[in-house]
Amino acid sequence: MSILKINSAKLGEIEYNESDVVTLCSPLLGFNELNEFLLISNESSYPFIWFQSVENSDICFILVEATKFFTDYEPIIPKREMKVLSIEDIENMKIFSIVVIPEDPTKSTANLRAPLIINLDKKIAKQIILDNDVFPIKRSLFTAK
Amino acid sequence: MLILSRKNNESIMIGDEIEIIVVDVVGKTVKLGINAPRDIFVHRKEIYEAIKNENIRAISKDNVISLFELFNDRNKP
Repeated sequence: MSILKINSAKLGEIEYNESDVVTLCSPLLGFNELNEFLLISNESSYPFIWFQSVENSDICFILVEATKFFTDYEPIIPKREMKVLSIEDIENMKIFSIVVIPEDPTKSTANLRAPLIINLDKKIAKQIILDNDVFPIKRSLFTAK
Repeated sequence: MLILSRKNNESIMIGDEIEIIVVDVVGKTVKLGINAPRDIFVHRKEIYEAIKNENIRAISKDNVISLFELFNDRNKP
């Protein structure tokens, strides 16, 4: 398999295979033209994961595995979304939240209302919006248990 | 903007696949039913805008590193 490269504004040169690419079923709101991303993690970034756009090297999100990070977070993923993501086995599904880092990083938050669901097996993902408004758009990272 | 009048249980079609039905009207609130293909995104506009803005705010900035440091410091034994 051929090795592909992108030059990420954040992470420098990244080598990857076609099979590493995660494809969005529908684009992230606000980023209509972007469908292909890479999940990148390293020791220094733990517990955070980079979500680097393949199509625009300047665009890189930071994710956190929401259900692990926030132990009280148990969203119900609608069946319709599970179908869209072809999730048959829950084991293959990961629930991430997109992190926002303001100027003061102690005030960083994760968006629990619109998690990014990834089917790791099929490498497809979708940001879904939960109907239940008990899940905040801004949940502090630093008051987490 | 196209403006149409509809009564209870009447609907409009948007293209061939999207139907919006007036299910009920109570006082100033209109209850709508929406039939649309699965890949069509249907949400209240306020929440749509809020999520979109939050995504745009999330594009990583230069203080990413300080967040990571903060985290590692706090998690040190």
